[in-house]
Amino acid sequence: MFRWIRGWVHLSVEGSGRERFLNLCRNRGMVVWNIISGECGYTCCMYRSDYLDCGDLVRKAGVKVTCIREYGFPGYLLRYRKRQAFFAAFFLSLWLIWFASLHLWEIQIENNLYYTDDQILSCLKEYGILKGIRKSKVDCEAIEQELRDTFERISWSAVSVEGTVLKVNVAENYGTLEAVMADTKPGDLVAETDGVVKTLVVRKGIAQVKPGDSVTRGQVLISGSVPRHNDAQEVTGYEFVHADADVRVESTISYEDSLNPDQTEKIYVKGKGCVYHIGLAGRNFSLSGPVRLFWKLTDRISEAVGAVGISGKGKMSSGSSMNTTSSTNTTESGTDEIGSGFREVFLPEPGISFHFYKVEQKEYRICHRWLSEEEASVLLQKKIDEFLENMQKNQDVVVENQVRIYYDSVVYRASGNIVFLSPQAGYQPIDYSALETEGNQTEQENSEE
Amino acid sequence: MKDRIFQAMQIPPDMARGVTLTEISGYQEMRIENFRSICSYFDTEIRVLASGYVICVEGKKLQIAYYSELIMRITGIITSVRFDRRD
Repeated sequence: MFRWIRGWVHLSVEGSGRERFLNLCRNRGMVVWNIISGECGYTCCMYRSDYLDCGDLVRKAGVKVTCIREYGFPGYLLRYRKRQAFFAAFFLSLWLIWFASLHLWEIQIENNLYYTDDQILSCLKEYGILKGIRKSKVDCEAIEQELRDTFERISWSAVSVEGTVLKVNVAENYGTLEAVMADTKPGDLVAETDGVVKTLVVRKGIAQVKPGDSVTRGQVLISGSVPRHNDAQEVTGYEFVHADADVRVESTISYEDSLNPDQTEKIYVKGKGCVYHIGLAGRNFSLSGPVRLFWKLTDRISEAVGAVGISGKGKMSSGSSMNTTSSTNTTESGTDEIGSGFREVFLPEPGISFHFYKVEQKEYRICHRWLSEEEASVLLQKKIDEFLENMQKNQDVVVENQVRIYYDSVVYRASGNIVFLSPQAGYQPIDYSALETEGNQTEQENSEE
Repeated sequence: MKDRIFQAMQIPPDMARGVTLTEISGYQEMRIENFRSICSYFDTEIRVLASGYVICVEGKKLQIAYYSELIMRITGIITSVRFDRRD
């Protein structure tokens, strides 16, 4: 390889001073090889740079030196010196591939059944995501949020950039929409939690409780059986309705959480190493030796620098940066493994892919830190706030927060009761058999009278 | 005296006395180190000048595979190697 890069020439040496020519070359430090004796003289090989410098030696030795052929990269350039456009086009194509790898050329949408590809693509277009935009402008998390906000049925979405392809994976939710539809079947409104009724506004049905009553889970609050009376105020029948009311029950739940004051954290030390890898057709080759670190704990950050793929039908695709981070324990000998988590450029057909990436390794130590009272309070309070926020999302109104944070000589604890008002929206079908029994009892009483 | 000093310092003789090293592998390859120059080269005979004598290599289809400042490698069918003292 070195010889090819430097270039060499195949010479013919004729004359009586051939041996003197060889000795003169040797004295000057020039290397000559493949010396083969012939009829008129002999042929040999020497580096091109040495050949160009040996003019005075040729005169001194009194020989005739003829260049038969040039080999190596300089000879290649000399032979194709008029093919500048070819080389320019070659380098331009490499640059174009790299430039193209910085942009997005394909958007793939998966797992969408209710919403069509065009609908999702038009939403992305309004958000500014089109084929051909630079990948640096793509904010995957923002796109996921936008999809969830725009489409009701999409409950979950995952957006990622793989090579030059934007992959949108959605999960559509059907169960939630069925619950939103208004239920008009006759039914009773029942309590969902134990507690005390605080407010009661009836729109349809007959109230079975009043404010201040204690109720249990499953107890009927509003009955959907509205009795019909005749002029003598006797029950002649029932009208069954879908009970509708605003009932708020005050309930109490207990909250318990703990935090160990002995916390561990990573501290990066000076040790750092970088190994470059080339992947070709599914195999990985390391360009440098493994990174040997003293510490056993390291973080490996794999960063893909570029990728080119050629499919079996001649299609070419390209990709660019993609980062993955993993924390692993290296072996005691410090042997580095090729970073995992890097995926090759997506190819529609089986083909050859070439990718280049580096694995940066940083060593760290695990240090123990004792949390102070203030820090523990802040962390526990943050968790309490998140819990209360979730309650409010479920339309529960927090009346009183009796949770307190304290240290019990082992861990920091947050415990106490939370009093809240929750709207009751439980429904159960009307028990028609109970009404028939009640009706029969009433008739018996009347007949006895 | 010099030999004793070099022997005590465990210096190899080729470095100490500047002798020519000759290594023959079978009958097809020969390496010569620490020589002075080449006297003549034909496909049946190669004469190499060493310090105080001439190495004469005879054979058939002799080629010099490598010729540099330090090492020279001869390939071909070597039939005899002769050391002629130079007066």
